[in-house]
Amino acid sequence: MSWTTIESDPGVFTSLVQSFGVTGVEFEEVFSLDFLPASSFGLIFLFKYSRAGNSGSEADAVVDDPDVWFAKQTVQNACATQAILGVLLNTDGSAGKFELGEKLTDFKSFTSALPSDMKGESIGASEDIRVAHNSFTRPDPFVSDEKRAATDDDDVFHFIAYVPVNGKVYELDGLKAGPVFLGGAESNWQDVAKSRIQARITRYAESEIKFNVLSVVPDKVLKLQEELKVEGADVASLQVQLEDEQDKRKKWDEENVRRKHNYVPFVIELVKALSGNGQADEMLKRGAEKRKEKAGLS
Amino acid sequence: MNGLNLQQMMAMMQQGQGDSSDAASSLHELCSFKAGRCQASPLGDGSLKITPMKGKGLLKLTRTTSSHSEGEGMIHLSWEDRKTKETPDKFIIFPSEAKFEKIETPNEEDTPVCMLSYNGNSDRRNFYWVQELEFDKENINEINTLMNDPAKAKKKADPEGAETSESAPASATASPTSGANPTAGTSDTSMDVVSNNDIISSVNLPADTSAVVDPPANPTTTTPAANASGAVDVQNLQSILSGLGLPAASSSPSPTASLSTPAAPSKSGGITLSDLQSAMSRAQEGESKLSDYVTFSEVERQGILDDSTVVDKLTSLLPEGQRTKDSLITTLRSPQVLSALTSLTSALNGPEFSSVLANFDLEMGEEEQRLVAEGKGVEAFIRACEKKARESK
Repeated sequence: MSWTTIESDPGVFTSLVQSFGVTGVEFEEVFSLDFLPASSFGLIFLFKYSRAGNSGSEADAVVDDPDVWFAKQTVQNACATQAILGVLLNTDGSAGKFELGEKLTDFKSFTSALPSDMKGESIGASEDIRVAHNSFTRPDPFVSDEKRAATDDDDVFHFIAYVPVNGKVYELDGLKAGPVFLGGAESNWQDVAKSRIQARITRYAESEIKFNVLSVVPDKVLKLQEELKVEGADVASLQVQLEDEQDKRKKWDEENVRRKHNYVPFVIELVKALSGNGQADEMLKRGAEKRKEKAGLS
Repeated sequence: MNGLNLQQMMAMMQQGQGDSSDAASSLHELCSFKAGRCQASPLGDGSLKITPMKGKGLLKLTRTTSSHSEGEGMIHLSWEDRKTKETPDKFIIFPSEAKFEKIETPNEEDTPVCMLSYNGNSDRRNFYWVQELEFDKENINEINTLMNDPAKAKKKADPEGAETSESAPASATASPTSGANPTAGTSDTSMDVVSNNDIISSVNLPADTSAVVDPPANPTTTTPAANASGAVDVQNLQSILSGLGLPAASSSPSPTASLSTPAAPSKSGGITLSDLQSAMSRAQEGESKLSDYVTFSEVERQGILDDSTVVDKLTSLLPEGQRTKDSLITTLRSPQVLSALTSLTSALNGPEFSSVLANFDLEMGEEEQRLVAEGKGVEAFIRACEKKARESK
């Protein structure tokens, strides 16, 4: 029962949560902490670090808040899904309407009484969640799933979730013993999360770590469709925005279809097409020249 | 990492240090003009959408003097924010490495947009929009000349010849800066030369329409944040260097380089151009990759997409719903195809070579065996495909 890595892309994650049965939610990439999307169910802060150096967990006090669903990380490759669940199963939903769906509602109630390490194990053991997660892995006919899951990658991704729960802002880091309380969410919970994220970015700035932030936001297509129904709405403008969002979804869907497709037969046919009409010699020659050039020996 | 050449790697290493040595006396300004930066985002079909960013800036070409830590003669192109004086864009330009050109915009009267591109690496481009009222071909030519002709640059920097003709050796210690991804916000400055609206509408690349630019040859795989300017960040550079068996920041002295290019011989510690060159030739003797041969430009060169039999066969192997010629073209540039080429390459360079051939109904003849014995699995595979294609005609 292995888990393989998936791409950290908003289109992938949106489709992933939909496959869990969640509705009303999408993922948006955050390019600047100064421009966080206003309505958000939670933030996912992800960073890539080399196993050699480590993420340097600081000694933060963890709390034991019964309202917070927190899982300790047990499966490295499942960490994206784990952080996403951290947001979906905890968010106070003040950002908008969304439906957790049957699968996750059951999962949440089934695991709510378990200690945090068992919660983590439950993610690992959940066939539904694992199958949905693994379906986004690039098909590679030459490497078995087991082998790929076991491969010791030099670069490791770590995901941390930030989420408002009943007026309190928490940081959920599966490598810690529990949730970390960051502050009250009286005004804007995202400001609280943002300072924490910025502090981490500053700390990691010394160690060549790459990071990214995704926001879990209300589904934009649904939101625009609702707005269009309102009396006196600016139909023309909303319509254009709606079309843009639908185009974006279409593009995401196409990309996801490509991600799940095995292109090896295609590529073999392509090589045959390029070698077959007497062009193999020329192609080999050009490729060799290109390699020399790339090696900087021109 | 596509198309990175040695000089760019040296440039990258040196970009990370030497910021503190930009004292006024260590640089001669060659030319400058007011410009703003642009954001370039790839659209799905391989073209780029260029969006001008607000902010008054200055694009400057400078040449180092002998009192600079890099030694005399290094050309830098940098973009400076006129309000904050920060320099987010700063590149070392070696001769014949880069060019500066005006890109085509829909209307003649549009604010000019220029592109800095690198000859070896089509993924690396930076776009700037002109904030001067008078700007024409002469300005562009001047920049190109100064970037590519060291003699003219020297003349412009130092018309009286006050600099000594020998360049002082400088240290090339590589101390890469932290490669923090700029998720922290950049502050926008307001314009007063031309109003924002004027700019956005007059460029006629209005924030949401595209100026189509030649697509990059090899798209980057999407992983966390794709770097829109296509620049290689220092973290990636470190992994390249360690992959070549070079320390990222050498502590032992290296032999001095004796090359005619403006490389800096190292004094104590640091990697020289010649170190990199020999490491590169070692790397070159390694195994080849399918993606070196199977490129979009090769597809174009051979014109196979004009052959309907080929198009039909290839599209039939695409996922359902994407079996069109347009989709085929997008797919050929997709990260998924690059990924498949990489997987296949690993399999061909490994012990499973013969089972790969068997699996795809290809034959292992004498020539293929010989090539495999020489460690050329990829070439053997191409020959096997060639034979198969000939047979089925």
